[in-house]
Formats: sequence, C-alpha cells, structure tokens
Amino acid sequence: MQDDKKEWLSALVDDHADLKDLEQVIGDEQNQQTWSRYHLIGDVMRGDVAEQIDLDLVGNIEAALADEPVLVSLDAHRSWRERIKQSAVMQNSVKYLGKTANFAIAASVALVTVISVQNLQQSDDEYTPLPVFEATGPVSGTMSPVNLSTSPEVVVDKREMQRDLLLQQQRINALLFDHQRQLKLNGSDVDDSAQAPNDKP
Amino acid sequence: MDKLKTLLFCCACVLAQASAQATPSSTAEPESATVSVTTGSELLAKIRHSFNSLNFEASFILVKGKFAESYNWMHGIYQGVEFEYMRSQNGVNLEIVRKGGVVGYFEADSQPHTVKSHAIEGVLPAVFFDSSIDLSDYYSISAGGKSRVLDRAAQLVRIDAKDNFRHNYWLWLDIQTGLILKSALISKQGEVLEQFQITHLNVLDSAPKLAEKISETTLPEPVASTPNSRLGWLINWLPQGFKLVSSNQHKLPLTGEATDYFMVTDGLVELSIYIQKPLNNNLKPGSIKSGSNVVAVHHGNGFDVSVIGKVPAVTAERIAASVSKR
Repeated sequence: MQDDKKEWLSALVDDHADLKDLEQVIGDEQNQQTWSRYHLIGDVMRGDVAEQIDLDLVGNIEAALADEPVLVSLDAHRSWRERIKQSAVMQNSVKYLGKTANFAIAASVALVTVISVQNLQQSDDEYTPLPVFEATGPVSGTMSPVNLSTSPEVVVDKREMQRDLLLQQQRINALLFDHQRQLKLNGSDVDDSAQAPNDKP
Repeated sequence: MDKLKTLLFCCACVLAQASAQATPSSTAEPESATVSVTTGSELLAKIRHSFNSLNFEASFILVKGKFAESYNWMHGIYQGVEFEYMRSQNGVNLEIVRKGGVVGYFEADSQPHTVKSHAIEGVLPAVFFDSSIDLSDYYSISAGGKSRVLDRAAQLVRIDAKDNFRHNYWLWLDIQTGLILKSALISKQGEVLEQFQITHLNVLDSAPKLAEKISETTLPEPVASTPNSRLGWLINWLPQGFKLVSSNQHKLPLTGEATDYFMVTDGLVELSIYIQKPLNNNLKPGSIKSGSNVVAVHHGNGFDVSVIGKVPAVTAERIAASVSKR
C-alpha cells in the first residue's frame, strides 16, 4: 500500500499521476517528505541542484519571518479609522428614510468581514494548506501565518477597538432607525390618547 | 418619515397661507397686504385648511444634507373622507397611504405597519396639520417677501426660533392655493439643513382617481402605541417649550438592544432620547450629523444617553448630558 503511494508520488513528480488520488496521498506527512525527496532526486538527475541543498527550507523561512518586524500596523493608520467612520456617517445619511436598516446590515457585514479575517488568521494553523505544485520549495509541515508569532495581545487590542467602533456605529444606525419609527408611532393622534406623561422632564 | 411629515406640513403651510392670501387678495389688492395683516396663527390655520381640504396631485423632492429624495404625492377628499398617498421615486420603494385618521406605511423590505394619525410623518412638521399645536411662545412667525416658486407667486413665511437651541423653518406658500411649495430647515448660522420643494403641482376640482381606488382598499389594523411608563430617569434640561410626548421601554428593531425611551417636542421638531447600557468602548462622547438629524452621545455614570433630532448639536449634547438617575 505504502509502495503504491510512493509509486503514485513518483508519477506525480513526473506529471503522470492520476489526480483523483491526490487528496488521500498528500494528507500524510510522510508522503509529503517522500514527495520532496523525489523532487530532489529528479533535480539531481537533471543537474538542477543548487550548490547547497537545504532540506528544511520552509522551516528556515518560517523562522526568518517570525523575526521580521510587522510592517503594517493598524495603529499606524489611525486616519483609516477616521475614514471608515466618515464613510459610515455618510452612508447613514443616505439611508435616512428607513434605509438605516440596510446600513446596519452593511455595518454588520463589515464587522463580520473583520472578524472573519481575524479568524482566518487565527485558524491558519488549524488546517494544512494543500501543497501547491508551483511551490518554491518542498512542502513539509504547515505554514504559519507571518504575524502569528508577533505579540498577540497587541493584535487583540486593535481588534477590540475596531469592534467597539463598529458596535457604536451599529447602535447609532439602530437608534436613527428607531427614531424614525417612533416619529411614526407618535403621530399627533396617538399623542392625544397617550399624553399623560408620568415623567416631567 | 420625518421628511414626509415635514413635507406635508410645509405643504399645509403653503396651502393655509395661500388660501389666506387668496381670499383677501381676491377681494381687492395685492396679496402682500393680506399677508402682512395675517398673524402667525392665522397663517398656520390657513395652511392647515388648504392641506386638509384641497384635491391635488404633486411631486416633490426632499433634500437632506447631501442627499435628495423624490416623491409622488396625492391628496383628495372622496365621499367626505380624506385620502392621501405618497410614494418614493428613488431607492427603496416606500408607499404611504392615509385614509382619514389611519396611515399605512409599506416599505419594500420591512413589514407594513399602520398607525393612527391624521398626517404622514416625515415630510412636513405636524404643526401644519394639527391645530392643537401652538408655536408662538418659542418661534416668531412672520411673513417675508414675495417670490416665484414653481412658476407661481409665492409668499415667504418665516418661523424663526426665539432662542439658539433650535433651527429656523421657512416656508414658501402658494398664494393662489395656500399649499406649501417649498420649505427649508435653516440653522441660525444660515446653513440649509433640509429642503422640501414641490416640482409639479396639479390642483384638481375633484378627488384624484387614486383616492377612489384607495377607498376600496383596507388598511391593516393600526398598531397600539406603547403605553407610557414611568422610568427611572430625570431629564434635567430641555429648551423651553419642549414637552414630553411619550416615555417607554422597548427594543431597537435592528439590534434587539433594550432602551429606555423618551420623546419630546416643541411642536415643530421631535427629539428622541435613548438611555441604554454603556457599550464597552472608549469612544469619546460628542455628536454626529446624519442628514438633517444630529445624534449626540453622552456617557453617563453607568449608562449611555443618545439624543436624536433636528436641533443644533449643542442642544442635543446638553440634553444628553443633563440626564441623571431619578
């Protein structure tokens, strides 16, 4: 069985494999290593080998990336937040007449987007990306997201601020929508019957 | 809705004034003389009369801040009952039908609902339909100059706030009919915050056919208004003349968030005051503009206050900051 797979891998390296078996074969780390080795063998036979053969290239790249400073930081882009805020306010005005609902939905979508992007980053380490054939090197193990190893607390802070902003925007949209609704409900006739204010402002 | 009501009100104003002017002017002289002797309350009465008694078909636009909306509008008396119809021409389809004292709102993506009211909310202020509203203590109502609006002779009527806590409201009345041809919500600084303008007007001798059609339809039962309840809050400051219209607890339809709610009005503008659990955030209090509305947010001690309405930001902020626990 194992040999079957190796044979299949060998065929894969030579572009003769039946791709329907791909999923079951590449799930196995051992197979991945075998696949790498076969490529290496092929490279050696074709004379394509670099002077120095690094069998753990991916691991080295990951380690190097982990030490890289974060180039894009939300803190450095406060103006973006302002822009988001402004555009939210503008949208709000557009939808004035009962359309605030749509904007709230848009805001929720934005919220979901932000959250899912964050989740995506978080869960990157939970799934094994399919080895891509044009990968620059042998695939072994899984890729870690670049910024996962940078201080996670900072990331959480930014997320919370974004989330708070969206919550605030959502609430304002909901209030504007409700204000319009209350105006209708408190039409002049209703006032007459309901005008027994208990609370003297 | 606000706009619609505003619009209606404006129209009513115009009508009233126009009719007022028309009556005297027909006897003899220029309408200006008529208007000049007309007091604010008489002007309003004439607007109300025109709006409630005329048959007309019209189109209007409503400009709020940077955004414009377009509506068709019909009003008619058929078999002794008032019928009114408005339909949005831009964006989401909104249809509003009024049969006498019942108004139904039909919007494309929300449940239709019906309320008891003699006015369509949202275009023109209620004061142009409801004779029980008296503005004279907090606004001065005066006749301005003549001008041409919609190719008609129009009379400016200024409703100017006597203090700096509210905006001014100007109307241009059709001298012939008393309908409001144009209106504008104008800040004390002269900024036009909201405008209503009729773009087409056809005054008819009898009710439009649509009125007859509407008379054959049945509107859903009006929803009962939330009963007023005593809430544990004190609103320690309101501009003079603002009175409490309702107070209740309800949930915001969009988010399901619970809120304590107050509505106050001075007869021309309505303000909503929301008191909610604080959001866990460090955003600064303050106010933002949404069309002609301002939204002021204040963080109290353990609660958030939001005030919404067509008033200057300082007014909304001051009201929000004045709320305390009872």
